[in-house]
Amino acid sequence: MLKRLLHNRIAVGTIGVVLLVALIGIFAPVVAPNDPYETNILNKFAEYSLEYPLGTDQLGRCVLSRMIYGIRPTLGLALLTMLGTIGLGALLGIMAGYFRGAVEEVIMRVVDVMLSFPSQIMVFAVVALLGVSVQNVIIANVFIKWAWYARMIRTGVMQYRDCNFVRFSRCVGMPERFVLFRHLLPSITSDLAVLASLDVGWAIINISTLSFLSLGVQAPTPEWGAMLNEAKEVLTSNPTQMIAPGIAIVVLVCCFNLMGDALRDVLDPKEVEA
Amino acid sequence: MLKLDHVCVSFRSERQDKIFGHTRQQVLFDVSLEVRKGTCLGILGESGSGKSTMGRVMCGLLKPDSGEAVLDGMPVYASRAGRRNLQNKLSVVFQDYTTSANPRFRVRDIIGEGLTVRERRECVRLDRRKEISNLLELVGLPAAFVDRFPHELSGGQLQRVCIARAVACKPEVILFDEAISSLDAHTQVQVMDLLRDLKDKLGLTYVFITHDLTAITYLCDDVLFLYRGRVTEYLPVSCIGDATDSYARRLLESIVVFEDEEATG
Repeated sequence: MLKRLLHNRIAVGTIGVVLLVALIGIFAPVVAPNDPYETNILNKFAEYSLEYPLGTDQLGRCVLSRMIYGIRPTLGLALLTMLGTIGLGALLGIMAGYFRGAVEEVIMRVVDVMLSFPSQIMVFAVVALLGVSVQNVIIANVFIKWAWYARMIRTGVMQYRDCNFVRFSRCVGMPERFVLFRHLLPSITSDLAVLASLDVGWAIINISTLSFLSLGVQAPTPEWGAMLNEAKEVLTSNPTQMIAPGIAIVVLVCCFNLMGDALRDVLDPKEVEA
Repeated sequence: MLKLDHVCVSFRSERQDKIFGHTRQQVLFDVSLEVRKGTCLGILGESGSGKSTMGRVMCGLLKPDSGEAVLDGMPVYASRAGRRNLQNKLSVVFQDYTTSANPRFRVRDIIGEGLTVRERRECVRLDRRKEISNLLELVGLPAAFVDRFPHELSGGQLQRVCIARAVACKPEVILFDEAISSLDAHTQVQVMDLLRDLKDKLGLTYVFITHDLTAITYLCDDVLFLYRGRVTEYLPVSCIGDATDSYARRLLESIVVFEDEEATG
């Protein structure tokens, strides 16, 4: 499995980029050239220079430093959202697929209700209800997204639970634990990994969108979406300010999407080794 | 040793006339049979006659509406202990070899699952590497196959791996649910020879579900004809010519005609 992962160039590349970004985010205080919160109104809209590699924004703060510190909320919150979503979705999906009957009916009808709302509107509603803050954004995202995963995982479980290899395990009395963790979960993981890596991209954009609408991460905390929002205010006087956060979001989201694609190839055992 | 006692099975129909209807369709009607230790029972019937359902009742996966499966005098569905008893003594090989093995498992893991069952039951640690190569040798496969994935094996090879997995649990009874039907004629004979070998070597009891009469005459001691969920004929293979049931006769005659043509042609 690992060998095949290392053979796949796209997988290695995208995972490398994501890891690099994550590392830069973790070591932000070491890497960043300036304090991201230090304002210097006299030096606003500075050009690209050695001291300010990506220039300064409307308050004279170093854009590069803000970008680097902004990785933490952007990537961290997106991963946290996905973790919550998959955790909740997997739990309910497996319950629905495994126990069938009344449990399944109740869970799946709740899922149907959740899926019948437009997701963005639901996020706004939840954030409006709970108040504007970072944790509410995550709660809102998990709340609208778990239903997708619950449905997908239930389908996966149902697809494999009547397979002959599961029947054999049941028949010779292997513990349910084995059936679940060695047969069912690995079988649905490949689908899950693909969907999850695609949806990390979605979560990044969604958090950025909410920050852009000033419903998510609040100023002065640097976050890529929020930085775009600030850049929007000075669109006419300093158009270059939006380039850095804009490109960064595009690149990171693209990376996650390509990673999803590559993971599918890697996790499929039938894929012929090159 | 394995007995079915007046078993009836029905399923809830997929199409109901009312929204909360409970129309059920009966699949097995009052089926009784007994497999003696060390023999092979063949169960013969056309598609949809309830053969596989019967198999599921026998291997403890489907509780019948009425009647009971009994193994060594212990009712299977009455208690947990009964099911445990069955799980310890029975193993199974399925028809469709493409789904019989987890595509993510290597041959080593597939057979290892059977070994795990035995380890748990006998509370011993086995030398897995040695056991697996022994089992592979037993079913006539090279030991180098342990690192292969199911999709890297041919149908006959994979079916042999499945047989090895079934034998790995050290069962007393093995249920074959159309285990050779999806193989080509030549491989079928090879696998049947293998099964006969194993039976003598390990003292196994077989239940053989199939729609292939020649396979039964080749391998089995007793034969049971199933037609639309009812046992129509139950007799030793040696007296198979004396079958009086119309379905059994039809099957027999189709074979005879085929052989005649071959003789004249």
